Amino acid sequence: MTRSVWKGPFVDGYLLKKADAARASTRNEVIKIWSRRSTMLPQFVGLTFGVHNGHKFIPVLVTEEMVGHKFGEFAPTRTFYGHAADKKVKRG
Amino acid sequence: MSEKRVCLGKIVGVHGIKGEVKVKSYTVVDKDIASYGTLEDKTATKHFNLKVTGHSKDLLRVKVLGVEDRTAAAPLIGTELYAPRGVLPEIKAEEEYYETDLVGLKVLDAEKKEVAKVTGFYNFGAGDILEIKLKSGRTEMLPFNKGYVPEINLEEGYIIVASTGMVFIEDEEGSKEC
Repeated sequence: MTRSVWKGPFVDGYLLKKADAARASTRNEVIKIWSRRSTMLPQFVGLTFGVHNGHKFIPVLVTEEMVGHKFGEFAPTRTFYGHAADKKVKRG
Repeated sequence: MSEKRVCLGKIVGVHGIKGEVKVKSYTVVDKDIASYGTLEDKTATKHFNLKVTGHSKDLLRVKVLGVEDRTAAAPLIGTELYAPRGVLPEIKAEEEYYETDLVGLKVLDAEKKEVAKVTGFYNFGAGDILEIKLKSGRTEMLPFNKGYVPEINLEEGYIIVASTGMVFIEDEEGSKEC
């Protein structure tokens, strides 16, 4: 069952404070979070979060398409890293 | 010096009685394994020309030229299929690299001192992530961007990282609330 619209998206309060601090900082800093259940809000776009997956922090750069999703979706807890013979990577 | 090679897949089983084999492809599009020309085994003694005939769950069904029955196909199980690095098409986009070119490179700090090695790249849907293995044996994940990886030198075989771990914003007291 989907969440009622009148409640609004769920976000842990401390994330908003940390996001404000990150935006004020000009350095390439990552916001360390354990709140995998929080929803990505439009004001998080462009910030990089380190989302805990149970044993380490996975860097998650928030883009516009990710708004509305939960942080936990981008930091898998069980991972098959896979093979990559001809896979390309792009430096952002 | 021999050219660097790329492992494109592995023969993991046989299919039917006409000499078809099942191949686990390591390429992004699994059928592309047959488009890189003649492949060879790890020791470069056997050569294979592949023709994809279909899928068997997540594996490819492949006909190897010259292998006509199941008895001839069975000894091939476990063979890894390699191609020279040169067969991969040239990348024209800026700031794009083949993962296979970067894995294994030395990781230097800002003072050009070796601190780690590149062990892999991941993408869980939120940008490319670089994984490095420090000399202590610990692995670290870094966002693959110019802030963290300011220089990549493929000719000399190193990358320079701004820091060997993610730089976190200072934790305020009580900020971890869950």
